[in-house]
Amino acid sequence: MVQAPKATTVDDGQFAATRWTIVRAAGDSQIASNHAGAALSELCHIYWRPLYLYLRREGFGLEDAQDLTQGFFAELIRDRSYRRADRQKGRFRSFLLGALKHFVANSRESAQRQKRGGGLIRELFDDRIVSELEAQVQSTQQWSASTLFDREWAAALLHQTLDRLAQECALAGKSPLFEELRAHLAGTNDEGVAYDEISRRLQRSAVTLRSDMGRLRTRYRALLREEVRGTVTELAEVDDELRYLCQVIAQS
Amino acid sequence: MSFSPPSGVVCAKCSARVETTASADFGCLACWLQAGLEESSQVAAEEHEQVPKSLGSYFILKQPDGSPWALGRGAMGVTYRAEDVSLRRPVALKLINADFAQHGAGARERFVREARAAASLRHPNVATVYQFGIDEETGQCFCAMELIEGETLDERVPSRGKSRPRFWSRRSRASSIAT
Repeated sequence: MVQAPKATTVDDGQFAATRWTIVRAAGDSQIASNHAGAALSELCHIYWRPLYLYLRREGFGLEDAQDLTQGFFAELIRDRSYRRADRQKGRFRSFLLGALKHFVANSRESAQRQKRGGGLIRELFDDRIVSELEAQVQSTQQWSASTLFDREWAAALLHQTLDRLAQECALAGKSPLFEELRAHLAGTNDEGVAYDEISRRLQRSAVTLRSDMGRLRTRYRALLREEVRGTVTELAEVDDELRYLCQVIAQS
Repeated sequence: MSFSPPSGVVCAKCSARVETTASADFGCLACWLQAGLEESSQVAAEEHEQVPKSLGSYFILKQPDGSPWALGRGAMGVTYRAEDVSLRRPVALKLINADFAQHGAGARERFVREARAAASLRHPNVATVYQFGIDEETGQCFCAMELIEGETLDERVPSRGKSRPRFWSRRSRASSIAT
């Protein structure tokens, strides 16, 4: 069923406010436990890397950082601290990092850094991932914990955006096209795009490919803004959040 | 396909440091983000240009800022607030993405199946499907449906309290009766 929204703007966040929606859904005491678990799992899969890397840069050891990351998401549900999160007062990025700091401080005080999380994201910490993340920690020692967190947050946004675009292309039977053009979607001109080669590989005219590129770039930008919109309170904050992340990356 | 530049290089375009990491093999992160920031109004304008003004007797309504009045969007397409100018009634007009219409035969068939399934339902709590059609000139598939004024589901569902399970129980029962 299609519902007409009350709001008068197209991009008023009702479709993109997923991050806050997930937190709210996970926090509902009446919700079925498997539903809450699924909501929590989605949050974990999107944001565990920035949080884990933040902890590692803060000096926590491998196991402690893993335990704290898992424990944090479990505590988010158990303690229902997100109930105190006011969507009207902040960006989701700040909320999550603030909640992690609070959780870590409490863990230190109570010396209860026991393994928690019930295997929620334990499967994510396989040997390959851990060694990749360790290489990342080592190669980015010039960055502070908050810078590393912000950069990884930006990477998570891009992952989400490109995954969504890839899914849309797959639905349209255009996965090969997406894979060929993906590397150039952030560009604003066609410099460096080997249209002739791609044309031969895909049996698609170069003229059509240029048109495809324009559409994919437009869609990529729209999806990226939707993803960012889901983490801020007001539509007007999307540009500010993007500028902030760009600034962090440029200055690091 | 890999497009990672060497670790630690500086982006030739924006001079930001490019770090090839396990989780971010995009190249220059700043350039990817900048693309969303640049020409944000142009992005909207480009998307708006791709939305037809009308399909058959259905005219897509505009927001005060001139943009098409979108009600919702998904992977397959976007639903707009529109008006049936023949019958002078508001409708929800769902448009399948142009890419689907032109190249995605499978997805297009899915859209048709969905429209037919929705059209077969008759219930006070289910929006009525008025028409399914394809624009002959552009190949654009569309589905005109009853426009239900009111709250979105997100606004309607109780966020907490004992009424939430009851809400879903009633809606599930209504859906099962309709089908």
